[in-house]
Amino acid sequence: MNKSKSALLTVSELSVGYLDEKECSTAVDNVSFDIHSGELFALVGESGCGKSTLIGALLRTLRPPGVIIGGRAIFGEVDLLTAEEERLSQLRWSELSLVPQSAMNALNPVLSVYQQFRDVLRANESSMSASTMGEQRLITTVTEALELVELSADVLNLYPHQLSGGMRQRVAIALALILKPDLIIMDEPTTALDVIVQADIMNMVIRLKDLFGFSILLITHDLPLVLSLADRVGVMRDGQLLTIATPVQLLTQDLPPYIAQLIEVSKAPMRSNDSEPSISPEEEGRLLTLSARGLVKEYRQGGLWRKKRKRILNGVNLDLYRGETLALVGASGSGKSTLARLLTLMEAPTSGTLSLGQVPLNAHRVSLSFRAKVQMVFQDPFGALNPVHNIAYHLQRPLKLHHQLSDLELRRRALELLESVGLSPAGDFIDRHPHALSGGQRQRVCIARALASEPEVLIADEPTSMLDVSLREELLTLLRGLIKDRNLSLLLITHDLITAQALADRVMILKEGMVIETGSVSQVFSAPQHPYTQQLIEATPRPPDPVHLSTSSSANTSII
Amino acid sequence: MNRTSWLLDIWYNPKARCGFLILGGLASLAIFGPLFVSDPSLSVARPHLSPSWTHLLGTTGQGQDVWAQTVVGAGLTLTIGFTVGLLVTVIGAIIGVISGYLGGLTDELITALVNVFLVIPGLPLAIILAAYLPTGPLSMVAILTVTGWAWTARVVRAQTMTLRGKDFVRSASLIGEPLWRIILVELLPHMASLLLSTFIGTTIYAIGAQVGLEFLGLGDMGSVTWGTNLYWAANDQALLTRAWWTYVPTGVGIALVGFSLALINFGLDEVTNPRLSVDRIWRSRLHQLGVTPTSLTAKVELRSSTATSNSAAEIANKRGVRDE
Repeated sequence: MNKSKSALLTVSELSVGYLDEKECSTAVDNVSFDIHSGELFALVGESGCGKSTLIGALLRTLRPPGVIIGGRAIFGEVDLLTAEEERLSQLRWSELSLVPQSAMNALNPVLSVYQQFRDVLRANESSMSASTMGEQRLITTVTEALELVELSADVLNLYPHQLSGGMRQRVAIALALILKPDLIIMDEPTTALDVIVQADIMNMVIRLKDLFGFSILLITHDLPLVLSLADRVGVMRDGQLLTIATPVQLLTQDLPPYIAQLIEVSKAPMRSNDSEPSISPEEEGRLLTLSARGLVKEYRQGGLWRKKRKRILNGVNLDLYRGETLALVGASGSGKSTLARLLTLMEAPTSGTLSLGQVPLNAHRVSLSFRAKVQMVFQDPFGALNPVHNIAYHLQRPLKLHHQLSDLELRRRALELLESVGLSPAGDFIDRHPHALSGGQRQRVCIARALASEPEVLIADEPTSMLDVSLREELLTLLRGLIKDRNLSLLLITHDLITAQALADRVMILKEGMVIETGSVSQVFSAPQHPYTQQLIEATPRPPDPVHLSTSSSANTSII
Repeated sequence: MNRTSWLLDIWYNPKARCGFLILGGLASLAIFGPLFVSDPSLSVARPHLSPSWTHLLGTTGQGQDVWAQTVVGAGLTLTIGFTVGLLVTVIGAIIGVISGYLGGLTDELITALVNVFLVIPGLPLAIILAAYLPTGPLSMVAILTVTGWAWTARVVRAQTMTLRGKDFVRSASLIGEPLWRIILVELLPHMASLLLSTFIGTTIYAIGAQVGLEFLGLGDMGSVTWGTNLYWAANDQALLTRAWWTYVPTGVGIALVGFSLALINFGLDEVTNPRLSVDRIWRSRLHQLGVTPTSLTAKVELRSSTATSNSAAEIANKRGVRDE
């Protein structure tokens, strides 16, 4: 017990429901926690666990049909749940501020960075000593705030679309900091960012927290990230707060199976190293399937008269052998998805050649047999299935296009496909519409559809990145089984090194449209050659060693 | 979303149902009415008689029965209006989808053409066309379609371009679906509500423009429509002689059509965009539970028995996509 420190925010028995026409359903159920000053408290949970609803209630931004149905949230002297709107607007920014989920959308696109800051400062002038700030003082204040988040004054007059994702996130953090609040709520602040940028930003946040002594409520689904940063962690599931513990406790104690599983999954790659095939691709007898030479892709930008060319891919060579899994790893913007579009002949390369087997390919004349042989699984299972068609339609279309089958036969094969991706009994699923399936189930349907034409090559674009951690392992296991059974070649596109390491035989690292490193998984991960690869591997969050943690953070352990 | 459910929902929406009932009444009047009235072009009594039991809405300056003229005029006016609405929607949708989906040079050429039609002021062009073309219902349809399709094409093109980038469209072409199937089976169902409201809007425009042209004397003056009714009323000095019964019935007819179509459009909007009604439902639910919220976001006290009837896991399932 650590009652000596005063609690900054005390949430007790908070319940939030959603009203629909018949009943009220609970999304946050009796949640209690407190946050001490200078503490980083993390709330971790998978999608749908109620963490976003909880934030909505605390900030009073919950829209109908959401409604707060009980509890208290005492912040200083004020109960956030019942306070008047005027009282709340005094608190916002100056004592309690938010770094929203995606800074891409949170910054007003028509205001320059300086104007965004000016609006916040002007809106809160009454709360500051100087009632009106001169333009010059404003600029100085904003420049100082930007320096804190390691941005130069050059960005003052830029607009959000001219900044990178990481820079926008820094601007959002600086905005949240500018009035020196006591508590900053960060809602998935780095989810959309690359691992390297994410590591930089989180380190910066910790440094600022130690400097100014504010508290942070960090909402995330990324457990490994939290384990190395947070003072205390609350784990949420189905609207309930399962446990509150320090990272050390989480890693060392006996915990409910759900939490144990979450930690286990994020801990390590699941590959059993003993059965590693350790074949070099150049070995004799390996059949080349898909190969690309000198792929260049440029997009034209700008208006009718002044066209600029932007080069996305800059001479990429790629060889995919029969039965192997090649992971293509790169940060966002490195050209991975463009490469996938070229390889599936959705777009034509600016220059360079493609071939399947020994047959040269032409993106302007795509044969049906190519479509049968090369298939793709998309990143977003919610977007990849047309909501107006049912599962039977989605599976029977490719079967019908590529194999001449009777209607009865079509349905039988569709059922088989569903069983093969672990949706069993298939009869329960086949007549449903996509909205009646969960994300993981939809992604399985997408995989089944890609397998329907019996392809040789499967291209998977971040197949697990939209799914919760606990589902990822199942899906990767499924993919591994399918590849083995059907002797598929898999090109796995990912930004996540752990996934690559778990599944792939070989790895290709892509940076700014160029392949900077290729090699077998063990080579690349144990002895990375290129400095960028080394940086990537270091930045990947992994749960820290408990022994190491307990010594480093013993100074500020606060145990409830 | 089930494909047919929202069509049913439109019917259950009070605004839309009210619109359908008014429109249905007018349509049945236009279809069956002519069987029960005298020939509207015959002179049956003295000119400018005020309403009476023999002539329900009085007579025109030519001694024709106004009730008969209004009822018979509705037929041609509504037929032309809905035909133009349908043609503009179909032509605009086809051109818009082709332009938006194919992109490239095809798109640039079509867009240039659409822009030309958009910057030409519609009504003056219609007047010029009407003055040179032979009069008759077919040329009226042609004139209004030519001046009306471009806006639909532009809206559908924009919608197609956002849908084209969706993964489900890309995955359809990846499994080898032919172009026509991607457009008809994958894209168009997502535009059903857009096309329906375009159809409604265009129909309102077509009826207004048609009446306007005929009022200016640019239609077939031999036929009986709402536009020619107004033309003759003005010609016979109805305003000066205060014969209000010669133009008010037609005006009310036009207003009712516009009103009913607008109601249907509102209903359609509410059904296809649930956010519009969520706030209303929320308030009425709170009212039912006996709570008046002080602020939209503040805590409310619900009796515990009503509060937790549904597990959080189910909601998580329902919400699925929206969280995160």
